Amino acid sequence: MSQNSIFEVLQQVAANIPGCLFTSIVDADSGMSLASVSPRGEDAAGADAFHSDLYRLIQRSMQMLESPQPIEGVVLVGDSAIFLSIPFPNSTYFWHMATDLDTTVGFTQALMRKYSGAVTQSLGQLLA
Amino acid sequence: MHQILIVDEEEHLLWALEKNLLPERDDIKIITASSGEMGLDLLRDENIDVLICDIKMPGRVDGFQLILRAKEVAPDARVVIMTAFGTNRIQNLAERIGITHYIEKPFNISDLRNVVLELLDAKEGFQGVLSDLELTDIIQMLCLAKRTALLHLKHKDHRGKIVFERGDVSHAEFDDVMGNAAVYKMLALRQGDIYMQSDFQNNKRTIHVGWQDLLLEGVRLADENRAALGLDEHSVSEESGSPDTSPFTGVFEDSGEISLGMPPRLVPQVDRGSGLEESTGASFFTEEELEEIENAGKDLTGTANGFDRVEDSAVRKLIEQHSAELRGLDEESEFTPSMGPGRPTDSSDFPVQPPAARTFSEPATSMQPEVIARELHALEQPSYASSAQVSSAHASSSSAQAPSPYASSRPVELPPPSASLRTSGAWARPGAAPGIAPEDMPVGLEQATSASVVPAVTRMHEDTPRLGAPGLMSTRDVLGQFAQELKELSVTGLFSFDDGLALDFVELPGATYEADVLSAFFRDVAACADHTSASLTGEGEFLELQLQLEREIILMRRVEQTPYVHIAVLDRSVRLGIALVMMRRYGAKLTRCFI
Repeated sequence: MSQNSIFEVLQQVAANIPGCLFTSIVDADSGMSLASVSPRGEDAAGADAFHSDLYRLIQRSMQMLESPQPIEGVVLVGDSAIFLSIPFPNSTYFWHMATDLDTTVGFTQALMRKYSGAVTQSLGQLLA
Repeated sequence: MHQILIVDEEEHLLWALEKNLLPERDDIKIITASSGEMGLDLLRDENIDVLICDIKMPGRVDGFQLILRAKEVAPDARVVIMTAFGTNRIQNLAERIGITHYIEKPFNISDLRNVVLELLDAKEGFQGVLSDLELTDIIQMLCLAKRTALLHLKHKDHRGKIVFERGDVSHAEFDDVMGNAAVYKMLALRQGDIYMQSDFQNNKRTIHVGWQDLLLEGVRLADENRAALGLDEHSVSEESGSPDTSPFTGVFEDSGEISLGMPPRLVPQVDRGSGLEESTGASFFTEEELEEIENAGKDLTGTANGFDRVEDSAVRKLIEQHSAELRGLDEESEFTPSMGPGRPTDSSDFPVQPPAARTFSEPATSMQPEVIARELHALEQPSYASSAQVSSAHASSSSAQAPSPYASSRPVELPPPSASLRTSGAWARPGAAPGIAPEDMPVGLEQATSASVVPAVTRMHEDTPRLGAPGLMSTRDVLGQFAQELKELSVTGLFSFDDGLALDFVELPGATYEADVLSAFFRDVAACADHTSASLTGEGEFLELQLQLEREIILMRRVEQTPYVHIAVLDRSVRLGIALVMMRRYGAKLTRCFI
């Protein structure tokens, strides 16, 4: 499986969400995108980096609160976009998606759940 | 060979720093310790050049204690504080005790590397001296570090104790004076010896105001008294802390009344044994006194009633005296102790009602009348304690917590004390404080909450407008209702986006998170969420954050038109949609509390 496969999956997801601004696979440790698709040409690098920082801060906070527990999902509603993410199991990567404010969170989450298997599989093959 | 000691409870951080801090330097050895106790042992046994420690660590020796001891056991060591509680006030305090190197977690290893190399190159030694510490600094550090400790103070034949419980000053006694007045007396001392004891028991509470109020009031009283006595601060030398030379000491002993002067200067001395630590001036405690101190917890347990009786009359007398003094000052001195521009001081500014006269049979209300009055004064004139004697840390504290524009721009009237106590008083879990029975809980709380909702409030911002104008609900009321409607809630509250300080919090039975710690950490999360939100357009802010964790859901939402963030920790069984709708609905109500 080549890297194109993960791009193809991400492009397919983006095509199914009219309000998709970008969708990326991000390394939570480094904040670097492994793959990213931006239908509207948005630069996802900054959002990916800060979102990975969000993961680290949440995990650190829960550790400091003596309640470490895995993150299963993050939804961040900003005043210009909605950012959703779900981590991949047994990996430092998470799937990051940004939509406009007109796209409902539930719709995006449903599509992410639908495609999570395909994305996970392509990621696993890429990293294998 | 240089040796660097890193002390932090996070072992993965220690591991990372040990491997990556200075791997190319064969002449530098990194030593790590995962607890304060271990760190202290290493400080004693090894020749440490640089100590890097977290300010907050579990156990009997935290970072603060470690720094205090470092001066004794490793006087040549340079100190770097690293903390996740990155507030300006901690930084200020660190600087005031001579720790000029401070790094906020999370940090880049390269930043810490630069700091360490700078320290090693500069050979500047332990910057500052702990003899510069004032009692106010020590109290602030203990409170900010959320310490539970018993601080013993000795001055000549006088003995004092201050009890810190998780960062709150809960009890104090100085000779036969209890409560706030005891703290004021101790703050007025020019010098003294102190011990800090970690293992003690205390079930008395004679102080019901926040530590910031306590210190500001103490400093203010000191200012006023100094002005009344016509003393020039600069006429007293640094060494005049000697009991025999300080004019204030004489006044204190001769009159037996409160004496107001410079806070004591304290010099750290040697460790006197497990559980005790000492910062002291010229004289030490005797062995017999040390034994007394070690038994102090037991002593504290048995004499609450007596303390309360003494305190009632003593405190009233003191406050009346100071009110009279201040009235006199108003007439005689060009220093006008007014609480606001053009506003003359009268006796109502300094309520005669004793702040510490409550007993444990009363509800543990932290919203005392004088606090309410002070908050309202603060709204009118936030920086009334602005004399030269107010330390930079105090000034920082005062300014950091000055009312927001939302607060100062609105007229506020003082509700009747009884009403405000019922609607705005602190709520405690039955049994959380000695002698507080469920039936003694504030009436408003009983009515507003179901049997299963027994909130407790942590209040960090003492001068923020949570009272609400007449006819408006307080933030506590709103949070209480929110807690009642969401059964899966474990803790909810407001914290400041600016500094991460908790404003009002409601904790449900079984809640495991401390409001202030939760606020401090999730303020960083909120700040990061802001960065993410602004990443596409270059500007913008987060409005709402949903964190789905394995066992909990954490929701955060900005309270519109205010600098506060509403946070709620919920069990995973919650119906998320309902929780979000409730959060939005109550967000609007919270906004109305401020407008």
